[in-house]
Amino acid sequence: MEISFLTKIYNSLKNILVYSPPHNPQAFVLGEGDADHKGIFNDPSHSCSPGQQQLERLLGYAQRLAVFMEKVCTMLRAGQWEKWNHELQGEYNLLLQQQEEIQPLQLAYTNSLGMDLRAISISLGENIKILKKIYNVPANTDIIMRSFEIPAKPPLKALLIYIDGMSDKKIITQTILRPLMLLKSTRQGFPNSELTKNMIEKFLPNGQIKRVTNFMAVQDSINNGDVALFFQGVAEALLIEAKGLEHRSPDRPLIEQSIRGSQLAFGELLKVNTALIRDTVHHSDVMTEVITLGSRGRKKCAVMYLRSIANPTLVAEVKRRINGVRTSFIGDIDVLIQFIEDHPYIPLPTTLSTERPDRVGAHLDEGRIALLMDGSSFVHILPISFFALLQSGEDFSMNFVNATFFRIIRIIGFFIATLLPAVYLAIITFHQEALPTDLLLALAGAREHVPFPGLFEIVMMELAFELTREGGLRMPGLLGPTIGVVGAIILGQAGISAGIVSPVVIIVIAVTGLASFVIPDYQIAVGMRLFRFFSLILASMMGLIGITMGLLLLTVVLCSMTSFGVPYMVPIAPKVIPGLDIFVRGPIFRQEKRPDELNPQDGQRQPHISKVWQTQDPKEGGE
Amino acid sequence: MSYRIGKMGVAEGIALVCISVSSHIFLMLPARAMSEAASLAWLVVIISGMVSLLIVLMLIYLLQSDSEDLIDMLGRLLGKKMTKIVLSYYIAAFGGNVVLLLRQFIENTLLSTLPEADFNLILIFYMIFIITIVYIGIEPIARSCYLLLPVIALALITVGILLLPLYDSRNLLPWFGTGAGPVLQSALTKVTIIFPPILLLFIAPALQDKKAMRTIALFSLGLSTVMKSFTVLVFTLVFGVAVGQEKMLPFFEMARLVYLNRYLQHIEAIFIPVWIITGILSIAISLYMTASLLTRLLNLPSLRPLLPLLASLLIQLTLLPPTLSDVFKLETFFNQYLIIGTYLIPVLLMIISLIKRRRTPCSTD
Repeated sequence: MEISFLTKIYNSLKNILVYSPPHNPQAFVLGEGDADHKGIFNDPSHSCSPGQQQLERLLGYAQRLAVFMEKVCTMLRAGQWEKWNHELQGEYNLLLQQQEEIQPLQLAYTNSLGMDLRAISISLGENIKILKKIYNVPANTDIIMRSFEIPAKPPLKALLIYIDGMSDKKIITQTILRPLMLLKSTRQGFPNSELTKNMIEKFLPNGQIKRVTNFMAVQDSINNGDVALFFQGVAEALLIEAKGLEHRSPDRPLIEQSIRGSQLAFGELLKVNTALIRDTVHHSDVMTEVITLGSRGRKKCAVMYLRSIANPTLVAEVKRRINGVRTSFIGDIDVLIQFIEDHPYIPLPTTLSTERPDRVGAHLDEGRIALLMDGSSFVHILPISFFALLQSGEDFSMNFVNATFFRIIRIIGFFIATLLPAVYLAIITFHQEALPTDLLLALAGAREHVPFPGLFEIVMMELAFELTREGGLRMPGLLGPTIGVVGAIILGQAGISAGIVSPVVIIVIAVTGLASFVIPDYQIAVGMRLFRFFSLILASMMGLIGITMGLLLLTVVLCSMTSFGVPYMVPIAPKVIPGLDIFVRGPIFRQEKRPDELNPQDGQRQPHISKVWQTQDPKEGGE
Repeated sequence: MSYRIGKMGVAEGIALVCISVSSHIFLMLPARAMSEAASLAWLVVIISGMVSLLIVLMLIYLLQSDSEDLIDMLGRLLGKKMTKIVLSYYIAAFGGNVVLLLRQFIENTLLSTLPEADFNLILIFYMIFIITIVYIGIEPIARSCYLLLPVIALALITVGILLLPLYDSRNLLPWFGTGAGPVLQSALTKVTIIFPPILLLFIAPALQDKKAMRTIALFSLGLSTVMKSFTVLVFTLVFGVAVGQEKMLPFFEMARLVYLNRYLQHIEAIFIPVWIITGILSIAISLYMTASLLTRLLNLPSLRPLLPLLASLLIQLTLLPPTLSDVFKLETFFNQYLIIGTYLIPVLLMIISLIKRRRTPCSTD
């Protein structure tokens, strides 16, 4: 029945006005219990590819063919020739018929795969043609396609392909071209079936060589700086490690500087970074799973965890999210995090970004997961709680009393950085009675010549401070910090002299700015800077009541957040078994359990008595 | 469906109930209890807490399974039609609680901190935040309660300690009292503080099992009773019966009295966050209960779209009493209205349950 125009209007209005709950799948929550985790690591991924049905038919045919060939082999070995006519002739004819049937299917399937997924052809010319199409050669000038001949009998044509600048030419010459081109010309030809194997075993002196059969793998390798080697008459290519990209070596941390503890930071190369983590956690349980991301960028991202500790459900969820990202290009790990985090609309981090391998190692040992990306010198640790963002990398390098003191200083700094300007505004505007009379008179005296209301005065100075900070960051080289400091001093002094701001506001803004640098995590510091402006607006409207409402809202929002399925405010809200590592950093030898909220496979970090030497008799030696 | 709440821990449950009951400390409760029971006002709060605990434990006992809540129990014992009527009653009860708490906290704000602010502005300001908080959900609210409850308790203890120099133990002498009868009567009719813990029965499926519920009831009501009783006791010790019952803002007046030296005096502004947090959370919990029960009654898929409409309706009701004395009159009426849901319905359910159990053969456990 045709729907009338009026009904259409009614239906569209109804769709707009009547609420229907969104049909989103339930959000991931890391649950209790580990019984359901077994075997998740080994599960094959069930990915669907285009033309899957066609592939299934082809596979079915291949299986039938394999079975048939096995039968023939058995028969030949047993010398039962007569059976051929009776039993297998019919089957053979059927297979021939089926082969004819599936030929167009095979052609269609190959074409449907696209250039990337095509198998390598035995014809070198065909392979060159496909590679030229993929890399748009000769328009693409930094793709080097070097054809050469191996002087065997008969001579064997080969092709070498790599990207200029990404591969090391010395390695290419020494480990590929030299051994192959300088072969003795008297050498007999290579049998095609064993050629690549022979090459790897006898002629190519390179540590890492891989045999592949499709162009996707070839591209991934070339794009990462390796070399691909093709031969005439072989439907395989050799991927030879020859990376030679110039890069920065691991250096001292620039952002997370510390007085104690390791002084090593990550570099930009994925392999170097994973190696640095492996160098921190020397255990064969360390897992590094590489996932390639981006349909054009093809960036490598590594998921690292400790196999015997990390919760498999959590690992599976992180991998699921990464595999579920569909985009053209991901340039940096921070971009990837925006794709996979739980609350992209809330300006607070749900992962811990660090440049220190020692910090990553400590978190891996707690059952967390590290996320790395090629080209990024920061590693993201997940899941984390809000309290982890207020902790510093060197907390564990100090005595627990000192570390606790510094943590408390940081927490005070956090509150000052978030609330001080708003509280000052609220008090001078609404709650003057909260101040002792002398102080109140001093404040009133300081503000006497200021022509602007408190909110304007503070916001103006806050903006000036933010401009100085941002300008200092963007200023090239050593000029940045100098200009920042000079700018701040001049601005403050000039503001007071001109009677635009009161000296107390300068003190408030300076202390707030100083306190904001106490927050160890840059992203949460930025989030709190935004909240500071929100608090200022609320304070200007309702005084302390406004600030309280803002804080309450922030608390509820924080309590509603999760970091990869783990509540953001654990271990306090919700309450789980707390370790001695929240506000107070307890003695290291008393921290026997791993974080309960992560539900690790092995919850025990160390035995109840970790200082066994105290129970031993010094005279016995304790070996 | 979004009104179906997730799992809540025992600690969060305790904090949720404790804060929903404790908001009255910052309102007229100490002064009213004092006017009815004089120097034994602190005992009124204790008896009310015990009565409340008894009712909640009785209702928990009536639950048949861990996944059953009060609505399911009503359906089982009273039938569908009666359930709808009783549910409507509870919706009005929680809604009324929102209205009265909101109005009293706004009046508190006007009297104590923002005397020049516009009533409507404060009302809308509060309501926007409350709706936002309820929109986020009951689990984050419960977690926030747990996070903030120690701060509230610490503030009460701090005020109590800072007022030590002003304590006059003679204010507690029994001859200022009104006798056991009025104390008991006052305790039993303080329904506004006896009623809120019933919310525990409505969120029962989120609270693991009956054992956890009993723990929550015991600790939350125990803790809130201690907090309320302590405040009333300090109030009595500081002001005495004659002056105390005249006070409009008992907690604010107590904080105002603090004087240790010229730098530590008049600290009432520091405690503004404490009563604001308690009040807003308490109102948010009641609003959530109203919306969630309404959603159950009307069989709606989600409570979130209902919130702005419900809030605008409750704002209208909050504006109805013209003066503060009318608010107190309304509260007295509301108190009587709550008696049905606090005493009559639980007792009725108990009786029906006992009858039904007698009728059924003893084959079941």
